[in-house]
Amino acid sequence: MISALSLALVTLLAAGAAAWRASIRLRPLLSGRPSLRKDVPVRRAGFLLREIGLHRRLLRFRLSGIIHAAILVAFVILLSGILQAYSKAFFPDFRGWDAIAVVQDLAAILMLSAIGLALYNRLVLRPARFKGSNKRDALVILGMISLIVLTMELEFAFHIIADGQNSPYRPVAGLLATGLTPLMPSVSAAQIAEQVFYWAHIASILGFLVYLPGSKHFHMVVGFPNVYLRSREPRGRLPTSGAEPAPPTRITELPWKGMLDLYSCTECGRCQSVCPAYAAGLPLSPKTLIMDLRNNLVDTALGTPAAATIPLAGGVISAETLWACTTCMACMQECPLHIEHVPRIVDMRRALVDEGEMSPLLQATLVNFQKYGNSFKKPARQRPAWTKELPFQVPDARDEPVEYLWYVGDYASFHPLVAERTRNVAKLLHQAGVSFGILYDREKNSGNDVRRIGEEGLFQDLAEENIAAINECDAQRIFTTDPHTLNTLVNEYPALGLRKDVVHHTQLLHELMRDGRLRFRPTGTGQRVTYHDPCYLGRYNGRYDAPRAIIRDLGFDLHDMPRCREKSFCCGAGGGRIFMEDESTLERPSENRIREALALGDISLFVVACPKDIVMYTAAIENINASDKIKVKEISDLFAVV
Amino acid sequence: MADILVYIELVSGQPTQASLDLLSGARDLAGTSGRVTALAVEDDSAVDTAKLGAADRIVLVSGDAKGYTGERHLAALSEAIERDKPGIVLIANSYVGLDISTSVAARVGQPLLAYCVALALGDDTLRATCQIYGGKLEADVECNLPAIAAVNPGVFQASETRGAGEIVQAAAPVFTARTMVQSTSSASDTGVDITASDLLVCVGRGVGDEDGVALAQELADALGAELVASRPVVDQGWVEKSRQVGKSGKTVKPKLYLAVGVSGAPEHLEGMRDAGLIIAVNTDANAPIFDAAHFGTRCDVLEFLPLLTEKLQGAIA
Amino acid sequence: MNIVVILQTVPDSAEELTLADGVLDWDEAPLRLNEFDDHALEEAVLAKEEAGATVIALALESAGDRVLQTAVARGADRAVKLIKEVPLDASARMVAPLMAEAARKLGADLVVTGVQAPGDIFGQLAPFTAAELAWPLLGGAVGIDCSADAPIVAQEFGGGRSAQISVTLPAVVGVQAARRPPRYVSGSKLRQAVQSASIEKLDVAAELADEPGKLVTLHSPHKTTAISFLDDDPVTAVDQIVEIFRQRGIVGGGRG
Ligand SMILES: Cc1cc2nc3c(=O)[nH]c(=O)nc-3n(C[C@H](O)[C@H](O)[C@H](O)COP(=O)(O)OP(=O)(O)OC[C@H]3O[C@@H](n4cnc5c(N)ncnc54)[C@H](O)[C@@H]3O)c2cc1C
Ligand code: SF4
Ligand code: SF4
Repeated sequence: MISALSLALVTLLAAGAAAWRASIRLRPLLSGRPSLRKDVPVRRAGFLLREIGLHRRLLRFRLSGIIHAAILVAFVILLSGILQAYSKAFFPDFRGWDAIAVVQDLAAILMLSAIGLALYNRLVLRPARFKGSNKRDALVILGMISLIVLTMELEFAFHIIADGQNSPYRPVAGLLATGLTPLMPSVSAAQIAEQVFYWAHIASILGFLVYLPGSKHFHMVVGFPNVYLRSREPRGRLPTSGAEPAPPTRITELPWKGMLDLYSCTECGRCQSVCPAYAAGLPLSPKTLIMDLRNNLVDTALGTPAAATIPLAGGVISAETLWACTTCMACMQECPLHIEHVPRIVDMRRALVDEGEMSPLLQATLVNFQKYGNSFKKPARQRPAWTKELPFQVPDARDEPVEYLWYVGDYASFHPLVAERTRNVAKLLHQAGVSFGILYDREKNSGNDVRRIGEEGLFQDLAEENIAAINECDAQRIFTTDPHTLNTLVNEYPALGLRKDVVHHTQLLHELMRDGRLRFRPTGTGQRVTYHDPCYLGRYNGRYDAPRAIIRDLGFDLHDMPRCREKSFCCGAGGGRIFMEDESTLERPSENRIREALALGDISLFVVACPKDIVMYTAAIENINASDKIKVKEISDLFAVV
Repeated sequence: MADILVYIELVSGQPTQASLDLLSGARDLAGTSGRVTALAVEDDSAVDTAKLGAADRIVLVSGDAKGYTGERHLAALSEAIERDKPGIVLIANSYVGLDISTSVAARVGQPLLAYCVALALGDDTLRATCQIYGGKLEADVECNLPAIAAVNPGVFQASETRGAGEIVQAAAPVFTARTMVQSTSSASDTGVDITASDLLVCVGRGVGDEDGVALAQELADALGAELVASRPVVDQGWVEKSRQVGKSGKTVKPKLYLAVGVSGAPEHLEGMRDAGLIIAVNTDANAPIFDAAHFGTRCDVLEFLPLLTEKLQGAIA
Repeated sequence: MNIVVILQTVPDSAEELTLADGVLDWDEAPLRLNEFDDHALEEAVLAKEEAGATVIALALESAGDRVLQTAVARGADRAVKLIKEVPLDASARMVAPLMAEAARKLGADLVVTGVQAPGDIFGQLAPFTAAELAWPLLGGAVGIDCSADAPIVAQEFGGGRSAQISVTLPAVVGVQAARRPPRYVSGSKLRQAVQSASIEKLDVAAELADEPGKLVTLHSPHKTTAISFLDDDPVTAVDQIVEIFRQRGIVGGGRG
């Protein structure tokens, strides 16, 4: 009855069209920079299955996660319906499988309810993260899926009418059939209707297939390889520009995995909803950044005139957008497709830096780094000036063996608000009898932020000089109070020749407390306090617990803010932002964060573990006139609170 | 004692304050026996010679109404030196002074002492203290007379002048002109550029509210200064962003920075630390702004501002 | 057109300057490119980019190669180091004859350098070099426009006064500030220039000139920088402040 030949023909045509549409889009990948990740295939596959199976990232946004899971489950089941439709055409005797029929019927209901919920979410709830996404595409896709399911159900229903007997295995279709029977004058009319909906079903499937490569739902295809090929490097190790020294300046020069990222984006906006730059009203949304790059890639692939010649930095993506990023990693933490925003952004910054295109303030800061090795324009000889007020001498780690080399960092050395805390830490360690030394005038900025500003050459210079100085020392471990420094020392210096264990002072202090070397009195008396996870300590390096343990051990009543641990909200200083003009149009991230803490109620201390946080949050509290309600404390300050 | 020639810089016929200060200084240096000559190259307006009473003699060289060129002033001054053979030539270390003092020294083959903040005259030597390396160091230098000294502003103060000296009109200097004035401009253009302003009044959060800012604006107007602000004040929208001083604003280096109700956070100090004269008004004696200021008072800004405005208006009127 | 930019290294006044026997301890002094020369280079490169010219960076051998390599990375076409034994503390007057001869040998139409350097107590390099060459000098420049035969130099005189002055070449210009801040050279470009920039050597016959001035001693400023507190009573404080304003010429005079 059903013409197998015509079905084969339209299917071939549609599949050809879809393949053609996909191949045009994917062709630029062939000439992208290398980025094949061939290591540990089994682990990669395992991870992919877990991500899909458990929906871990997707479920971090509850409603959307559930909708996605429902659609996915229903979709997989309904694939059998498609198989069935084709089997019918090629094997006229094929009658379908009863066992699956029930499941299919229920899957149809599941799918339609999920789509209903999705529409409700998109059209009624309208979370802000969808702002800037392509709504039409989303609706078209939802419409198409509904059509596939509805035509299938109608085909089944008319089949039941034509057959004249209800099937217990198709409760939904049976119900429909009961409703539709009065409309059918004859069996042959029902047979024709069945045919019509059969072809409508096939047409909607094939239509979907052809539409897919040009839609954000292409992720149904490229999402799999994209998650499989995700970066397994530590987050804190910024990749170089696809093995080439010069950063990509045109879309066609991206590493090909970077291009795959672009096609994988579903415009879900999870990244946007957690981005501190976006929240501050700065012209950056990680989602639209990816979309803009993707549109340029599609235009280029489709041969749109001039698309391939637009520079990425300052062209496809504006310079203000690129400079707005704090490199906080929140976007990459949330993206269900493991898209890599930050390496893209830094690569484009590298191009800007190479052209010298930056604000005067940032330029002056980089010149300070070049000339003085710090952002404060302080001569190297003043680096140890903070030690002058200490009642003891801090050893020069290059001259005598020490247990710990303390890598102090710029803010901890030079900023008066922080230097006070640096001395606190020194006193605590002295009291615990820890032998530690510093590099004196040989220490330069570690280059963590310099690298993320996009000044790769300067980072290399700084790192080489610092490593040479560190290697002159006889020390067992390195510690620092600065998470930014910690990050590059832990993740990036080893590749350049550093062979030492590096810890954060919170970890060190906690160890000393635990081992009884640092004797302490619980100074807290149950005050309600909160703790802010610095991006570079928490999300970047997974160190969440030592600071919390110290706070509790000291007798404080710790309450986490809603956005804590890997969801922590950036203070706004990272990625070199602290060296740029801040003209946030809505609200500074740091002030937003203080308000979050205040909303916990009755919180008296805002505990931090990063020098830049001390500066940022002290100013934020002043700025919103909250000095009488809440105070900034460095972990080490708590030892002094009585 | 030696005869002294003082180069007088004119703006539309008016001697600059720095030139007048220098003339008084020359008077003191020359003592009773030395003669002081003031030399000015005329510009587009008649020279206000009444202001030059401290000189024994005023030499007016006819100039170019179109404006200053280094060539003309160099020639005029060199001719005068070769003619009168003064023991010392004093030039104020202004932009113009910087432009011609070294050229004159080279032309007449005399030693030059630059950036002088103190001068002493020996029998046949000139000794000076020079401020160098951004004021970080001072150099005691000396040379034989005749000599030329470029003197920093503020070293001498103009005093009451006694009667007018003899006025001599000199002919235009002889030189082959290789430079030509195409145009000049004097008003600072529209749009504020706080970095270009010599006098700044900065408001911090200590002024309380917008009314406090308005009081500070009145003071700035009375003083002929620009109003600038700390970041919180800018954030409030009381003062526009282009007037923010500090880390995330502008870095300024005015002659006067009057900070009212500013605490002096490091991010603020970064932008104004190098101002020539910093005066701070803050009720908190421990405010860090006082570490950077030259002068300070612990009174309330709201009392302080109107009083100073009134006093200045009185002083100028 | 050939623009010769003279680049000098000077002790960095942002750093600690140590004294030894009443003079600067030159071995300890952190030497860096004179800030004004940095602007001079930028302005020369800007002029070249607008009107076409060859920019030749010129420095004494003692300034070190890095300065010249950076200049190439910034857009200078040639880098020349002047070979001559010159003491580190030689004054501008002393080195001017060397610079003048080098400028002639390099076929300079325009010599550009910073309007001043932080330690030139006996006068600045630009006017001394102009005098040696007997070329006109334009100091306090804030812009050079080389698109016409006679370049036009923007000069600033403080207090918002400025002028556009045309000059018949050859000439010397002392730059106070370039039209835009000196461009940033990224670490990678710098690394590249260090490897590839070739530095020419130039011998000159001229001898150092005599310096008629004499440095007796260097010392820290006597005046204390510590704050003087005025009266806490606003009425008295205001009187005191007005007096300070008077003394410094901030009120009560037509200071330019
Ligand atoms: C990355 C970053 C960049 C920054 N950039 C800048 C910047 O560019 N510029 C800037 O200014 N700040 C900047 N800040 C903010 C800076 O840290 C301070 O928060 C800010 O400078 C404080 O401003 P303030 O002095 O006006 O306010 P406050 O610190 O609140 O000081 C007000 C002062 O007024 C005094 N006062 C109160 N009442 C009176 C009265 N009646 N009479 C006299 N005195 C009174 C008080 O004693 C106090 O000292 C930045 C901060 C960060 C973290
Ligand atoms: S790293 Fe942070 S600031 Fe940058 S785009 Fe991602 S979320 Fe936004
Ligand atoms: S980049 Fe990732 S998180 Fe952001 S919109 Fe695309 S898929 Fe969603």
